Amino acid sequence: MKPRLVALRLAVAVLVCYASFFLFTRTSMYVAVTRLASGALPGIQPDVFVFTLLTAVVLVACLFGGKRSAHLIYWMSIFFYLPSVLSVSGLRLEFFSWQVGTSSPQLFSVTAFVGLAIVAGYLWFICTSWFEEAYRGLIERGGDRREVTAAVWGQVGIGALVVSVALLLAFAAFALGFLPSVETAFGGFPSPHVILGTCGGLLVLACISLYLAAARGAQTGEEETTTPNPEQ
Amino acid sequence: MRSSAGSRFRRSSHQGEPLPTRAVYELIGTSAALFLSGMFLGNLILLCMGLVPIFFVFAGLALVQPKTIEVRRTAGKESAVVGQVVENSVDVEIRDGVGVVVLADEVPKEFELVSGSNFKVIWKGVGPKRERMAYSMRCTKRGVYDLAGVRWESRHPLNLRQTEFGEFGKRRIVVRPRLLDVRKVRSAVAASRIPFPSTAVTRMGPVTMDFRELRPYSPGDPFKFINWKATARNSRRGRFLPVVNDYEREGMKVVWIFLDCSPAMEVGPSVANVFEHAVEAVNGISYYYLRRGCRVGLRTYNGGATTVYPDAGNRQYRRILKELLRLEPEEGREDLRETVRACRGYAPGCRPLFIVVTRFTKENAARLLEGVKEMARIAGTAGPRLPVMVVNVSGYGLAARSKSERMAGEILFAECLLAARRFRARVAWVDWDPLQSSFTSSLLAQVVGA
Repeated sequence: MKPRLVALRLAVAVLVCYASFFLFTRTSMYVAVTRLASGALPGIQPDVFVFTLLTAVVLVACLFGGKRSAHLIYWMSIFFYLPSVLSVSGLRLEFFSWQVGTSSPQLFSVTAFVGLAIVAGYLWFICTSWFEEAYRGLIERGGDRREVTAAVWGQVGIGALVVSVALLLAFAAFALGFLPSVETAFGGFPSPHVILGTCGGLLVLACISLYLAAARGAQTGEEETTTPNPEQ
Repeated sequence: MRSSAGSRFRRSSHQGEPLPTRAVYELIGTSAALFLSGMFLGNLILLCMGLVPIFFVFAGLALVQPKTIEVRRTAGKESAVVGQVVENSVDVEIRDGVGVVVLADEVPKEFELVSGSNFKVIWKGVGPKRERMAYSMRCTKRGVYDLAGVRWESRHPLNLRQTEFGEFGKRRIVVRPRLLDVRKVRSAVAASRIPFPSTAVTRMGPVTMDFRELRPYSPGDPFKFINWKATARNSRRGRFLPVVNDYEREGMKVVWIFLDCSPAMEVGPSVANVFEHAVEAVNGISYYYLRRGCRVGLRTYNGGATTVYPDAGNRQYRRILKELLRLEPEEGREDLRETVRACRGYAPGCRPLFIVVTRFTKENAARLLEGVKEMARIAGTAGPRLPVMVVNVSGYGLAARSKSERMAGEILFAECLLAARRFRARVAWVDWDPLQSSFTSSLLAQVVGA
């Protein structure tokens, strides 16, 4: 059970890593890196060299990284992804002068989808780590291997479902902004990200406060029902 | 043996939802960091990336872990004998929620799991789930065990809520020591050879229906005891004094059992050491003598000072058993002679039978001899045979792990037998090696067959 879980986790991590690397190849930073590589190693195709290097690092991480291998690959993905995502920022800094090779809306959507996939993949990594820990704990306590495996695969199924739902909902929210009516309605605002971020943040805060208040209320109610009245 | 089948337990449904775990707050923190970065940099993609953990948390918290868990014990005993295999069965029904339910039926550490498992992991999907946890365990050590019953854990499928714990149906298991094999000791030969206490010299105590002998009438004898047939036969021979049936006096046969509770009795594995076997022997002996109408008393020496004063009947057996279930070897100063002296006042006017259950070694031989002398003094016997039975539980075999250790144990045991030859001539001596035979077999072979 454990090797399959690890393989599933690594497969998602590697997929995300190569997707972010694809975006990285469309940045001016990649051009600078390949130029540096061709200067240092003349006679070698820089694209092939960088791709081979990445594959070697991913393989080494997968084979010898142990538990932290997926973690390492995600950090590499974030490293490759950062130039792409920072280049589409509204705030222009000199440090972030590397640009995406083409500013077509399709690539913008791909950048967004890869970003969402990185976060979703990292959530998947966290989930599978919990499941692996639970599996080990239950086996150490004397659980039957088949029962524990069935339970953990059930968790894996639920985890995959919830992560997919979260990813799809986030992508739907992103795609909402491209609807013509929404574009027309919010097109006049000078900083839509601030409005969206503030509204979203406030909504999240309200949800969390409500949830915690409800949980605390339920606990207090429970204490009240169990504490005997001394006057009775 | 009472089965606890049919007892049903249900988790209360009005309890609040379990609180979120630390992971939820970490994910919300991640989301907030992405939101703030997106707002600062004016990056819509980062803002949308911040939505993923939030949606994950909300969707995950919408899943509720199992709440309504019904547990029913369908098989299980509350009383067993050492060595007995007890079948246990627990039915579980989980009606709502999604997640992992872990069940554990507590088994004392002294017990041995024979088959099945007392630990079950259940994946509860969308529909209701019914499962059965069945296992059997061997009760290896006597005692009273208070168990927590079935413990459950309800885990959130994504670890976003804290695990809930609970337990159902506390239970108590009483494990009694083994008794003597009644079929073997009930035979007439065995019953007559196994040492028995002498009757009382006093005429005190109510008369029982156990016939003792015929004797000439003496003033004060009830008329209803006159045996008219025997009197008629005697009258033909010219003896006209009536003949009466003499019956045993109730409670005048006293058996004192002395159990060695010194730490030296703890030879061998903890669940089957010499002391455990000694307790088994005491249990069998006390049951046997109580069944034969004797008043049986129990006293520990060399450790602790447990005393059960001589009495007869089933209640006395339960009293002795209760003490036997809780006895453990411990350090003590009162040796056998002092203990015997302390007990002499509890059976006035009778000659009790003394039974010593110990592990005989060269080190305790002198003390045992002193104790036996004191017993002879109390019994007032100066003859070759004393009303004393010594049960020597051999511990060398129990402690041996290899063939060479077993051989060494046999040599040491032979040395002990040599050292014990002074006793063996004057008392009923039973050497019991629990690995070789049962106590009943040893008793019959060495006392009855001797």
